[in-house]
Amino acid sequence: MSSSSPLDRLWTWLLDAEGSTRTYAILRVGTVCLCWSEWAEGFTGPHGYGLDRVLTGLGLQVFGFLTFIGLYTRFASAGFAATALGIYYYWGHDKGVEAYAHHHSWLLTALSVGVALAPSGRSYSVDRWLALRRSAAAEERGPLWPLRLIAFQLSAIYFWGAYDKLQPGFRSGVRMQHHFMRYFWGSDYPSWPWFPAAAQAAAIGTIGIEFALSVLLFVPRLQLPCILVAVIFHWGLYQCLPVGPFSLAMFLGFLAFLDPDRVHRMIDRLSASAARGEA
Amino acid sequence: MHPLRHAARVALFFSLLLWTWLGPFGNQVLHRHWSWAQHWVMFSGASLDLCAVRYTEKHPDGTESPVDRWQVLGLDRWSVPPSGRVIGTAAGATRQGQQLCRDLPSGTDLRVYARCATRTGWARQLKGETNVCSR
Repeated sequence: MSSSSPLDRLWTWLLDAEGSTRTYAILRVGTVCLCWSEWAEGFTGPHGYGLDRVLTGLGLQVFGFLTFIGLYTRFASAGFAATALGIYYYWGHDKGVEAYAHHHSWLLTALSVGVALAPSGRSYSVDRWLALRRSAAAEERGPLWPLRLIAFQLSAIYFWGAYDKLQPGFRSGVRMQHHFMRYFWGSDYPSWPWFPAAAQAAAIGTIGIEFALSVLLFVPRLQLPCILVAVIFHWGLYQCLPVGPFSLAMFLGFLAFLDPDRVHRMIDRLSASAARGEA
Repeated sequence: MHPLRHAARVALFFSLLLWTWLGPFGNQVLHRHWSWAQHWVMFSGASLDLCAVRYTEKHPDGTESPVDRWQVLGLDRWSVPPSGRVIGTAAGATRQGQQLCRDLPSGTDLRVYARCATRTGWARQLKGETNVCSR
């Protein structure tokens, strides 16, 4: 097999590629913020003082803070990911707290695990600042396979979300009618003659967008238009349905599809523009 | 990179990838409920606490005319929050009908039609077979 065969290139892209760690740093900070906004309040004093609750709360706060500022980042982000897994599996599944077993909780957990597997402290962190003071800072580069895992997680959400919607109840538009009436309209069936057709068009459009995004987000030339479509799509979902932090977590996850070196250069350009502006 | 370390990376990568993709495959294709995995069946169980309800007045000649429940109750439907506009069960639709009877002229023959949401569509549950005001 030639070293540049498509399979080799795919293998390298999946497992051996390296790139800027700034994307990881943004994911690190964003993930902690979203996890705190969704979970932290449930593990504070007014909700009880059981040992499991206190330990989870401490994990969220201590590991979360260290991960957020990027101090002892490898250790802290691993602790934070373990805490997130505990919230999803122990609190969500074992203890039956429904909100912690929801889709958005899993997405936050997956982002936490992805960050923990990556050298996210090599950029925008106290670790880096301390290393620079010692003149021992590593280059802002690292392996990209954790980023691929996050990208495949988002792809799975779209693909399997669309696959589930292929059921007759959804693709006929009737489930869309249910959602519209349940969340907005009420039990009086709308008298508009176009209502069933509009609901079916919305259903088929949703399935099409989700299937398309599951694949096309990986195509570099199509990424920006796809992300634009996805942002509009998720903004619409956020306005219409109680999706919690799901939309924002997806926005953050879109970074995983972008070339980290491009993100790095863009930040450099923005920083240079800002510096020129200040001068 | 040391070959063992690389092998560990490969093993971890594909294990996590399987964890991500196998769960929904198991649930949606094999119909197995694995609690260790997320299934990505978002909102598939939502909005099932909904019925589409219609009230009519049946006249002696057998014809029926629609009854606007909001008008009868003297409420502006848009001032009622969305959850208050929803009737979730056939029993709830009957109860709302009986409430309407109190505000309708005595002797009104009120019929209730209700279709309730299921995962596959609408299930017809009340077909206006009885006069709810006579109960």
